[in-house]
Amino acid sequence: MESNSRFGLGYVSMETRKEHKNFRPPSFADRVFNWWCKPEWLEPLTGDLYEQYQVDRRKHGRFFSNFRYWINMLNFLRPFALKFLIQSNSALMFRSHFKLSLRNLRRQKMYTSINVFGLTLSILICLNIGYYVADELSYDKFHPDYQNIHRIAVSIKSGDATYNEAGSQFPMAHALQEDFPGIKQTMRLFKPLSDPLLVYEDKKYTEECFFFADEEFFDFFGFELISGNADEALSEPNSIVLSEGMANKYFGNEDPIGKLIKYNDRQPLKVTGVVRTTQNSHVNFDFVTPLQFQLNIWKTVFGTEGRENKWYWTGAWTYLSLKGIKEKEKVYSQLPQFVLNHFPEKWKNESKMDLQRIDRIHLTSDLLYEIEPNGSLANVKIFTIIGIVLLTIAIINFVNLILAQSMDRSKQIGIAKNLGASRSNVIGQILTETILICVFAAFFALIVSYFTIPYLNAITNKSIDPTHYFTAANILIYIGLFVLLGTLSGVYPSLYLSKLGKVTIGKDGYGAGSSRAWVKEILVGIQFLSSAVLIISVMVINAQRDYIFTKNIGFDKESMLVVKARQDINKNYDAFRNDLLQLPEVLNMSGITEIPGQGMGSWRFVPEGGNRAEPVLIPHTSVGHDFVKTMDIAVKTGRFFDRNFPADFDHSFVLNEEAVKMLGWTEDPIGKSLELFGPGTEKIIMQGQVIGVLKDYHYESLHHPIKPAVFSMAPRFGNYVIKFNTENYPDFIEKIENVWTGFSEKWPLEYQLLDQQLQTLYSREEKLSQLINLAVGIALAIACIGIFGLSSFIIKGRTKEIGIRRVLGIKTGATVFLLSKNFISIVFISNALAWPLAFIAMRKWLDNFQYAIDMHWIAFGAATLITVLLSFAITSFHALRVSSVDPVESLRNE
Amino acid sequence: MKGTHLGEFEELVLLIIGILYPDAYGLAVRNEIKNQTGRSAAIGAVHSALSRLEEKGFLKSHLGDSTSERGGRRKKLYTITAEGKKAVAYNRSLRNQLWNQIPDLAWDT
Repeated sequence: MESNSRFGLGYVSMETRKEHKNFRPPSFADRVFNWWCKPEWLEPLTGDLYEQYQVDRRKHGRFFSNFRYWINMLNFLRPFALKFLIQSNSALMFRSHFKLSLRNLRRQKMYTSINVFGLTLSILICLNIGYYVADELSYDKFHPDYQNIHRIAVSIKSGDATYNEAGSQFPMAHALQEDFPGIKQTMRLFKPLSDPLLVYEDKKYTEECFFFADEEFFDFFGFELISGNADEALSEPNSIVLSEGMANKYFGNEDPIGKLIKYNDRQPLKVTGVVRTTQNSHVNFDFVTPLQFQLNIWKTVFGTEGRENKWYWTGAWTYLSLKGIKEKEKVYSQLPQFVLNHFPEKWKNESKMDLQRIDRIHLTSDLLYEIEPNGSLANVKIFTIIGIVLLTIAIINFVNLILAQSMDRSKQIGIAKNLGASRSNVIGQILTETILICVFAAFFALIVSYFTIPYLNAITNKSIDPTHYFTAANILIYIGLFVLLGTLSGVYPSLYLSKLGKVTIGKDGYGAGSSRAWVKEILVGIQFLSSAVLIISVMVINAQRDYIFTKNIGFDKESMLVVKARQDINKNYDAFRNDLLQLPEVLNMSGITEIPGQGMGSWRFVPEGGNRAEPVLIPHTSVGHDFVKTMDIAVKTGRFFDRNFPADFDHSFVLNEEAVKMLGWTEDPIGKSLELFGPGTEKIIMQGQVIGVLKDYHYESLHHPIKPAVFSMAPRFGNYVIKFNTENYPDFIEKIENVWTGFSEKWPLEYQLLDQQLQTLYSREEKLSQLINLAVGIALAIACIGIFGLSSFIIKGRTKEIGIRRVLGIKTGATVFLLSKNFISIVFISNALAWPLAFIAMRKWLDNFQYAIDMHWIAFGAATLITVLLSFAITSFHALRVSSVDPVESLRNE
Repeated sequence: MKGTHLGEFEELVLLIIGILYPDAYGLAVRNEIKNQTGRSAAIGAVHSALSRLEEKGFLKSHLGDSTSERGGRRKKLYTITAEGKKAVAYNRSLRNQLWNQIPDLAWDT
């Protein structure tokens, strides 16, 4: 047969009767085919493929045809067309290895399934961890030019307290733009102080994820507009861009563009765009409206004295984009000067500004007034470490189990060697087997992981879709990785086993306590070590979580309903409150501004004897008369606001203990005077005396220390808290709803249980401990499998020794002791190493918390106890089995 | 025995080759199988059978003309050999022989 070089493509140019242009099949497939196809078959077969491709392309799409092309090409993976099978000797050898491996694995079903199961399980967990980590790392990477987009963080020192805020002042954006030539654009984001009510025809919802933004919004964020024009969507003040989901919620199947949504049921906003918001970002918005809209409202309310011109209020989030990466240093180095030029006198010397690159905000920023709680780099690190540890344990296991099989193996290898197999043949055989198992487990895990994604999403509250990682290239890399891993894990067993000589035929392949024993002991030691570290960590993490959930936070959070306050209700607050108290289930209720646990905004105060030019920043909130009684907060000295003192309304302040400390009022603070500046203005809005001091309670999450706080009476409320006493929650809600609708037709009742609300503050820790419990459980199970395999390996080697000892009259108990001795000492040594490791790691983790437990020795003791018991149980299982065999049986075998 | 045995699929392919004369090559054989019997055979399976049949000496092949449809590659055209004809003929006569021996009564039950 004529052998053709390459494809004979030279014919094409001579072809003159070309009726139409031919479609080009995927060239990568051709190259692959070229690689393994026998040269004499190449031409007719590629011809067929090409011809079929033309037919397909005329009928179907490119993607489908390419797919068919690949499938057809792979269909030629048959002996007649394969280059290697016949020609290359090593390929022939590989085929034999492959066959032998399959036979070997099939023969030892139990061992194979333990191996594959353990490996699959740990790879599965690692994959899930990988998805989680990849998702966490993907935040804000989709914006064009994200490396040059930064958010401004501001740190303001006032007295002893430092406020590190994600928010910054409204005029900052323009000032930055003017002062720094290296800044391309700036943009402000702002969230309305109370969630707005949006109305379209009969649809009314209060919307939490509503933002105001400068019109450059879409130059900064790479959210994709499904309809509308990114350049113009936010140029008119009365426009609104909404997310895909919201477009559906308000307009169903109608085209939303041009429709009018009423803001707080008053001002109409015209829909100018619909956005796909599926990408991960630290800004999760449903609606964006131009900031100008809000500024216009303020202008009519506050006149020229608009909030947006004041350098006091850090209410906006300021973003800037740089002209180039190199500009960052320049801008950064001039920020202190910028602070001096623009910040108010009092803050100038002690304030700092920082740049946060947009894609790092999600994992590294944890400041006051974050747009939403961010992720945690610590968690990502912890999970990465767990993943690596888990995989290490699994690989060690795998090596151990293969070694444990060497008893049977030694005979096979001995025979192979006698028949002329070289050492490299034996190594190749064993490597083939380990690679085969690894790749199979990896593949299997990959498929299973697809089905476990919903659970991962449920635990992590994410919507991870890993299928976009499932590209041909990624899967190839992934499988390649496991070929490598299989090779690595096969290296030691194959080197060890291939060294066995021909003489070992019919003998146990290894001597117990041979010079190589220390390798196995180190391997098993590493497993105990990692198990111990994991046990200690999980106990500390769980203890910390329990501590957070049960710590006395200074107020009552059980059976407490938080209802969002509305204007209609605020107007008739007393009547509403009276009606509620008529309900038998309601014990007490009070109006409040901020929900306990969620922090307070910082306001400017001038204490007695202080200077108005140098106000002090103190977190402040306003509450109703019944706040302290409803929440069961203790009054330390003085009294709380009282209906019998009408002057309380605008002349009285209550402090917490920290505030007293901060202001330095060591003698009696009662009767001291305070002045309060209005937000963003030079006006004093309230002057009054301190009438009482509350015991400190945790008005922020336990991640933060208790800060000073000042309370005053509220003219209007943001929320109501209702203390109730009933088991019949649904009926209770219905009753509340009845009362509510009597006062407000317009607003729906929105409520939440306080303890549930508080729990969301700790959802990170909650998630972490759930996932860690799961991962550690699995890691331990896998470590058990490994220890089981290894001990059987070691004990098998001592079968004869035990036989002889038994003949000489050893008791079963003594046998168990004899065999466990070695293991127990390994366990102790690895525990001794695990203790400091776990201690350091957990110390670092606990540093994240302001209120952390002290690590208890019990966690360490428990880890040791568990590992000792575990190893003891497993070794005695084997020992009992060995010693129950008739010594004749074990000695006869030579 | 193995050398001369003609499998069911091989027999089908051999017959199709005859039908397609003189333009019988892999893809055409597959399409014709689809047309005549409704069976969809994988392209690899067809070529595999062709190579087996050639090995057994039932077919011989030569390279034909190239067309632009095939990106300038030549077809591998197959024709039935005398051996091949003998093999199908044997199969056919064997089948008929067996068929004829079935008593009519057997069909009634």
